[in-house]
Amino acid sequence: MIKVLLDENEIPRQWYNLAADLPTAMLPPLGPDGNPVTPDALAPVFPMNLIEQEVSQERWITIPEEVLEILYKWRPSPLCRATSLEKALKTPARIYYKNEGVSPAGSHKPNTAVPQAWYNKQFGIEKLTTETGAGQWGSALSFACALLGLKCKVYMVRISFEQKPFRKLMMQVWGGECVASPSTLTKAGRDILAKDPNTPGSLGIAISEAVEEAVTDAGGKTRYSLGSVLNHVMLHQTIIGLEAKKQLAKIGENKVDIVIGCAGGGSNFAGIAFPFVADKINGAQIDIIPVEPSSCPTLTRAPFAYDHGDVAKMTPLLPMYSLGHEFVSPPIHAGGLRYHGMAPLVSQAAVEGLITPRAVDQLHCYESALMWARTEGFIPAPETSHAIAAVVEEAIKAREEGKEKVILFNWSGHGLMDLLGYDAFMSGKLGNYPLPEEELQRSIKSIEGLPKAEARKTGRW
Amino acid sequence: MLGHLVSFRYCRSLDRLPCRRLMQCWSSQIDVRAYLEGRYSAQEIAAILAPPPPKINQLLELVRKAKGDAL
Repeated sequence: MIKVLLDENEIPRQWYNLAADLPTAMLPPLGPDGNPVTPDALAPVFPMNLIEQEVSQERWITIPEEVLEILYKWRPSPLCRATSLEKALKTPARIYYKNEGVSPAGSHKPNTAVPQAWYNKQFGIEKLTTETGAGQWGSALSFACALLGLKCKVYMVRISFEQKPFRKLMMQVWGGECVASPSTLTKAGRDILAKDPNTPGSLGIAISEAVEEAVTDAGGKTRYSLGSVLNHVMLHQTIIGLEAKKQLAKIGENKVDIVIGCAGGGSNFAGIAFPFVADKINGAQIDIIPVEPSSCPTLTRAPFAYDHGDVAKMTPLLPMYSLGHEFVSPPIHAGGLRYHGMAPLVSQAAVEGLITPRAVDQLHCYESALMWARTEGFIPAPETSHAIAAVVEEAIKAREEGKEKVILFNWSGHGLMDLLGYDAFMSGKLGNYPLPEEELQRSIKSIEGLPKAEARKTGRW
Repeated sequence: MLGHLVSFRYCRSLDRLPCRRLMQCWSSQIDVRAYLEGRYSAQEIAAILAPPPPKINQLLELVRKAKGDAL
């Protein structure tokens, strides 16, 4: 058995909301006045039906039939067993993966793009705006808007717009309007261009432009859309893990030992993991592992945001170059996991100890990605390669322990638009660049006067 | 996030201040601390290294700014 498929009538008909079950309730975000942010405050950027999901404490939320009708184009996605990788690793572990690369946009992102577009349309919205870096989210939203008859405007960071033309073209094929940011279309963009006409742009500028366009639409028919971090995005992605549970049950795999997903903003990890986090809350013994880059850790070494950093397991120091060598320092690959903020639900699950974050080196990821491609065939996205690296580690550990573990992970997308990253790896241009421990501690000191996020937990895990 | 190679020059000159990930992404190759201390005040360095506010708050701030600019 290589593939486990579900019929369309077996697709989960509700999303799972972890906020309902977290042992320590999430605190609402506070506004500048110190009071909890109200739904009305978010109304200029999101439709009220999505805001209701954002703040919902309901455990199960019904997936509208019209959303399912679109998801059926690629869902239920296959659950596959990586038998060739198992053989290559000589592991007794059984490795299963959800292939989210089968979506039209090639990743898990359409799982939320479609319902977001649908809910906006129900609310009377005619146009969505968003920002994108590499273009994965922009292309997914363009796809969703095309199928639902909405206009889509994507502000793409100029440096990526110029260096990564193919996803821009995908957006255009789906009828999306992809604009290099900063642009002259918004005040935010014009202000930046007035200071520096040659600026390469940034995600911060792009999001400013996307939000400005939504907020300043006098007709009120434009809203903004975000592809990660927020609660409703995590919610929509849980269809991945819910399908996986049904598929595993179908073949008699009643106990999963390890669940793995890569984590940047948190959405694909949440998608595969949250239904299993629910099992863990209810007593199941499962290791649930979000995997992030050691070069840019958020969950494993997060002194900048949370007071729970695991400083005992530091990667070794590497020699540092002096400032004088700045001009020859090799460029870094700014992959999708270098995200400026983790989903609050994922962060809280980490604080509780329900999930065990792991950081992996860039080179290990690409080595694992090549091993995957040369055994299982599919070329993974660089982000997905982080999950694969952790899978390889766990499969080898199972071999060494002689245990028949069941490993499940989210194969979140293909890498056919990211071959230049592979080229950089195969031509030796990439290295491992973990943050040195000494610098970590000095940085903690620099911000010790600033307020820290409170680590609220029950201590059960 | 951008899906391609970026240089230190890009990250250090991102917006008004360098990218808040500058330390994490570059410290193993470059003495980022010395770079920052040579160019920014202690207050600015703390602002650069500070954790980002929650995404919701970032969005609300952008809404406030966009509405203000539109007046």
